[in-house]
Amino acid sequence: MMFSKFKQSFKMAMKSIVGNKGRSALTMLGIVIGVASVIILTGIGGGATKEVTDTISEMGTNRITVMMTRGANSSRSIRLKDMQSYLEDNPELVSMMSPYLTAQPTVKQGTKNIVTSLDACDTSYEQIGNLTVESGRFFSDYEVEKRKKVCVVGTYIMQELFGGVDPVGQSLKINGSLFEVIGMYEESDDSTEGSGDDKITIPYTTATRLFSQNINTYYFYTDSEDTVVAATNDLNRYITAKLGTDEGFRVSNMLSLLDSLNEMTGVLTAMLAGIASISLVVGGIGIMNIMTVSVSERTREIGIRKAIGARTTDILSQFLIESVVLSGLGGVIGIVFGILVGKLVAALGMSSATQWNMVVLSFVFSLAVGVFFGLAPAKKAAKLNPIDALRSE
Amino acid sequence: MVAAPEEVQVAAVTPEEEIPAEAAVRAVLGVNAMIVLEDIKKIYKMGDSDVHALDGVSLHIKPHEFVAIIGPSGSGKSTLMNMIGCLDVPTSGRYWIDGIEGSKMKDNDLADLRNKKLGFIFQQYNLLSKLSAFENVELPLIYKGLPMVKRRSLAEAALDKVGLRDKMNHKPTELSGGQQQRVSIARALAGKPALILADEPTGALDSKSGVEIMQMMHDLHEEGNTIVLITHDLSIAKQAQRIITIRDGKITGDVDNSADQQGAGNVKPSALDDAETKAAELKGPSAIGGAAE
Repeated sequence: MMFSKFKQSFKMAMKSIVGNKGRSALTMLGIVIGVASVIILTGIGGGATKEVTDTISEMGTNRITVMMTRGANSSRSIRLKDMQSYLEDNPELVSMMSPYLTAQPTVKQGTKNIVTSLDACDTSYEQIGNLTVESGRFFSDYEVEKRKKVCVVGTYIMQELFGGVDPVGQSLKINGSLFEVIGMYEESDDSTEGSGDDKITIPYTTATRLFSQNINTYYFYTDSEDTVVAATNDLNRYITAKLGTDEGFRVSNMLSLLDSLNEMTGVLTAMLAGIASISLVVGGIGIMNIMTVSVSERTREIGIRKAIGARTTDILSQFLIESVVLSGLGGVIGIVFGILVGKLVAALGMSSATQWNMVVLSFVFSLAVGVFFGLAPAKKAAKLNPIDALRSE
Repeated sequence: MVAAPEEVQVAAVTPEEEIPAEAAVRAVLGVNAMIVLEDIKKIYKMGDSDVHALDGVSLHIKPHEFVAIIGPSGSGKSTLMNMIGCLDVPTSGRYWIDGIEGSKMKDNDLADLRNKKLGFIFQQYNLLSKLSAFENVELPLIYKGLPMVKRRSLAEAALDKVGLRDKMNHKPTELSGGQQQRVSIARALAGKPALILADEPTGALDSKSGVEIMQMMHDLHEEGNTIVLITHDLSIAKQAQRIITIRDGKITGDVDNSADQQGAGNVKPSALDDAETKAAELKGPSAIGGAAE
């Protein structure tokens, strides 16, 4: 019984919407734009988030960074020996460790010289840093131990200093010291200045002497992501105990970076969605206007329906369903439109990932807008006195 | 004569819809009445003064009667129709339709009462233009909550009765005035109401269609339906069994016309002096239903 009344109301709503195509389309436009902009904006936000998290994941979420923040030469720095013994004592938490040092030295070959970014590390960094040597090899434990002046270069160095010829076996000068090139990384970006290919790697033992600097950073590596958080906390405790203070150093991992990044982009996405949903509310006001007009126009129809036995709730539900169908239809059109524009944006090279939870949410929201803004006109219709309504033209 | 319409009514009202007090009310009233009005007053406020649209109207209409209510505009005729049609509640006094008291009901209960007990026929047909003839006839059955199969058979039977079954998928705009009025009669009949309330049913029709519609009213009466017809046209009123005249909110005449009852469109002089003299003054459209224009 309720169903046939509902079906009847739905049918009447469709008739009324189809019967006033132009007006219905204009009414729905606000909702269409609102829903579409929610989907497009959250899609772009989601795409950007995904791009950043992918980059971070590529860098390795299994990595833990221990950084001395008081400067490498401070007396209150953790010693390399302590880090090594931690690695040996905690095989269940961490599997590898590499001291790390970075510098911006001048690199010279023949008459050409450039400033590049230098990483100094242990042999394990090849894996920790997710490096791939294309030609030649990475340096060995022996070379680290003997402070050999060997280096692995990026493709930008090859382009700039060796004229694009494989430099393995050649030599170059770093801050005036002669180094042998023993390997070259595969191209990771586009071999331009400042890219991931603009780099050079040497043993940390060589670097501490060359730059007269102590190690200020250690990278730890866990075999599984599951132990990252536990290892981070444990390292924190260990170093705090060693130094007698919990200041002057920082232990961090990519996972927590990812978390805080996700949180940030989440807030950003929510803000975008919030702004977009304002147009949904405006669309709802449009629906309220049209429904109010529709009720006035159909006063006589309401009178007839009441005379032949429509209850207040029958009239209320008829008009409420009409406004919900109107806003729901607008929502569906907006979703289709939003997804298509998202695909277009993606095709144009920007990252865009349709947020399906936002699709569902904006559809539900558009239905809610229909109920909320349809209620007042529907109540007005339901309260009409049948005698007055029948008398109207 | 008594048995047949009783059956019609039983079919329309299922046991759980029957109001238990009905029998008691009938007993108290002491009559087998379809409509009972007891000292009905309806007072409208117009600025500072009160307008007595109905000023103490009492009335009994028995089942199977064919009653015409006649009066000029402003006589309280439309207010009376609203009362009988359960569209309005009186300021004071009580009324019963088929044993159910409507005078103290709230909106939704009045809606149910109209749906179950009454079939309206309006001067302007009042069909919904976006619905087909069939859907228009089906509408009160939907509000009654009948299942689809039942609705279909009742609506088709009603359309069959008015001879428009072959046009049931037509929109009102595709039908002539007479056909539209027949659809509206089918809509009134479909729910098998206890009372058919016709408000100037021929008012908007040409004379030929008017005669057809009045013939249909006679046929419905012959079948045992109770009919209350509201008109300002004496020639129409004279076709009823009983003519009630209303003026200034009071019943001024109540005449048994069954002896002189005339056929449709066949007006001849009668003994209805009171009604006739009054009707002579009745010029201009009726205000009933407000649709006369």
